[in-house]
Amino acid sequence: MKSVALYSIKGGVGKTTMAVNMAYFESAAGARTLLIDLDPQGSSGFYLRIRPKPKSRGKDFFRGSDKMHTMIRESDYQNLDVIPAPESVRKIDMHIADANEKQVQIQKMLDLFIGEYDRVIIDCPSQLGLMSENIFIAADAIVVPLIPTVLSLNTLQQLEQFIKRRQYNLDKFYAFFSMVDQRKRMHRETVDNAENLPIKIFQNWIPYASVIEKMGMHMTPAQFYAKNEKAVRMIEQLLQEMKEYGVL
Amino acid sequence: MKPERGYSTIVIVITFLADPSRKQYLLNGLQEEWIIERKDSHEQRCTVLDTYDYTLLRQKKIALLCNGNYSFFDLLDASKDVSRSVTSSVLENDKQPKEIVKNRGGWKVNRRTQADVNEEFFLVRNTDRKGVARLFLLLINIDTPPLHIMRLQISPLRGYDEEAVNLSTLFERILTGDKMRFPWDRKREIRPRMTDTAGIRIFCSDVLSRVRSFERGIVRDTDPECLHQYRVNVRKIRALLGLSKSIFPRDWLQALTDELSSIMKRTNRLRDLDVHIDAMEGYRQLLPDALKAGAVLLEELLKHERQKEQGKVAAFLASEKYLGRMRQLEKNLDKPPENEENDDTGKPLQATVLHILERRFNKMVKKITEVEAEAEDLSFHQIRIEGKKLRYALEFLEVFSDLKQVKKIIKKMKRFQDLFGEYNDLCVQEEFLHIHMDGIENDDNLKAKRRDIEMAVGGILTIISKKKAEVRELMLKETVSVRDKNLKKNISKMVKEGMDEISRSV
Repeated sequence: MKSVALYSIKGGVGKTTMAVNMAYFESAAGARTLLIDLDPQGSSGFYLRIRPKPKSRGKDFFRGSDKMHTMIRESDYQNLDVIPAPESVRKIDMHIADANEKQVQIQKMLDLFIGEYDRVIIDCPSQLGLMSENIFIAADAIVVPLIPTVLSLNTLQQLEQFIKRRQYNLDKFYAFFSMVDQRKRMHRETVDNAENLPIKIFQNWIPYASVIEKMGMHMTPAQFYAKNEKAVRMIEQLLQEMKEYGVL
Repeated sequence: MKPERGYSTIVIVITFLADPSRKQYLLNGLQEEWIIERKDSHEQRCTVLDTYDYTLLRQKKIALLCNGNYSFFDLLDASKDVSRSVTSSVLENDKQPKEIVKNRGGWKVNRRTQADVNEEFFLVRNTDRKGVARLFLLLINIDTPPLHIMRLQISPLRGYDEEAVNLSTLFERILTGDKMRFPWDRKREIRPRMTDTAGIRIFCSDVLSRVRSFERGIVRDTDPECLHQYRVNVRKIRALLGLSKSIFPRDWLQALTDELSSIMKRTNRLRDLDVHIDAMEGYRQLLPDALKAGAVLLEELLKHERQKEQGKVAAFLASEKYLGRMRQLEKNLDKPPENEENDDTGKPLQATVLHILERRFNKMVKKITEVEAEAEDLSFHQIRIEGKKLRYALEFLEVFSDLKQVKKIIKKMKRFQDLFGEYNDLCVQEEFLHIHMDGIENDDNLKAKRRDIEMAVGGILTIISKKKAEVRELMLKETVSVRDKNLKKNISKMVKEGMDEISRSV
């Protein structure tokens, strides 16, 4: 089982879009895939029309196999299951703080799916807290979407410093440019001069495109309704590159 | 509705009989609350496996052979669902479904009739347009008896069990009043204490439903057993009514039995031909080589004749006149004759049947005692008829009574019945061949083949004669067991216990 987390300190950078399309890409290729939404906005579930069960709570993530498994919902796509985020997932840091082994709570959760799934994709909230640290330990790869702006690059540096300070493994961090607007000079230049970034950056990037934004209207992965659109093909090329690097 | 535990989720299976035209009505009903998306459908013609007496279907089970694959459904117990289609898990080495293999000792399962099997797959979505369950609708339209089985399998998508239960509840609600009765299910329960005339009428009415269930098979010529079962059941009604002539109004009874006899007569020749054709293979093997060619010619002749006769019977059974007569029979059996008493004042059914049984048994024993080794075939035929009436009465008693001895007595009489039945078949075949030869002699078209056929018939008659002698000897031995004091004691004991039971309940 491989686990990949879509993570960024900054919000609105395309984590959920990538998480949903990545999960669909993997499941369509035959991998038994679980998409876990840890973001209280619940957008991953929304994109796939999946609501959390009325009684599910954030603390259920840490209450053992049975509870965890009751949260799983099958999507309309073969091999793709989802754990949608209940609203109370926002209190997840609190639950981790109460636990005995604070660093490995997410690791323990992921261990429950060994043998059942081939891929676990985690859509993380925009924060840098206890849950993020758990993710840094538990996930096999952490993929960070970056908008090619100064602010975005600045948060990447903050992340790098934090990882180094806490001595996490920087090698499993990857980044890609997202929402690239080629009409903007700064976007173009940032993408072209990406080699000096502190973590590995993929060559392929995702453009800013209305066809991708329309995922919210179609409520399906973009590859499902606009497979032949250039922007969607670019997502696939990026995912393919991730595969070549062993991230997927 | 019966939830079935599966991999972390439930599968709900609902099976029922319904008019196939109601399918769309069901789906429309569902669409009021859910979005139903058709995904796929397949249609195929399959073979239904069952015993001659439809043992499996009567037990609400169905074994199908579709494109070389077996499937076996328990229509009442969803937990015995065998799979979406058919898997090797229900098969043993000889490619027979396990359940059938298990019961092989007592049953002879064969290709019995045909069925159109229609599989449809749907995805059910909620109001968010999110898929919540896969719906598998299986329609099995059996030719004979004409049964339309609908089987719904609701497999919730993981995490949507609650929605699937709601879906099945809605199904059940839409289905109310839409379910049909199995042709073998009783219209009313038969109880030992009910008035005798009512009990016999209800039973005969149920048997008539069975008679009618074989009509289509005869018309379509699905299997000769359809005609056999049709006749067995008509005979059963006639025998039971005949046995109870003292309790029914004479005119009412006469009208019914005359009608049944008249219907039976129309099928006599076809049945004789079926029996003979069935036996021909065995005879052909026993004949010397020189006579085999004639036997083949005779068989062809019989088959040709059968074809003509089958056409006549099929036309008769499909005619408006026949259908009208059947409807009238059903009506007569369903409506109580004048002066039928109610359960409080009438004579209890169990008492009447036990009385009939005792009388019949004594009569049969008397006839057996009188019969000698050299007796005419007719004497044996009469014993056989008495034995049959006794058996029908016993089988009827078994339907409503808990008396322990009934099963034992039926078992005890089985060999006796089999031997007398076999002997009768041989006599019928012998007579049939004699009559048939007369027909051949008068047919100019068969001149050239006459000699070969005559020789074959001569050979077959010799075989029959030898067999008759063997069976007669066995029959005579078997009569000893019927005259056995223990059997008489058992019957007397059963009658006494049955009567006591009724007295106590009064």
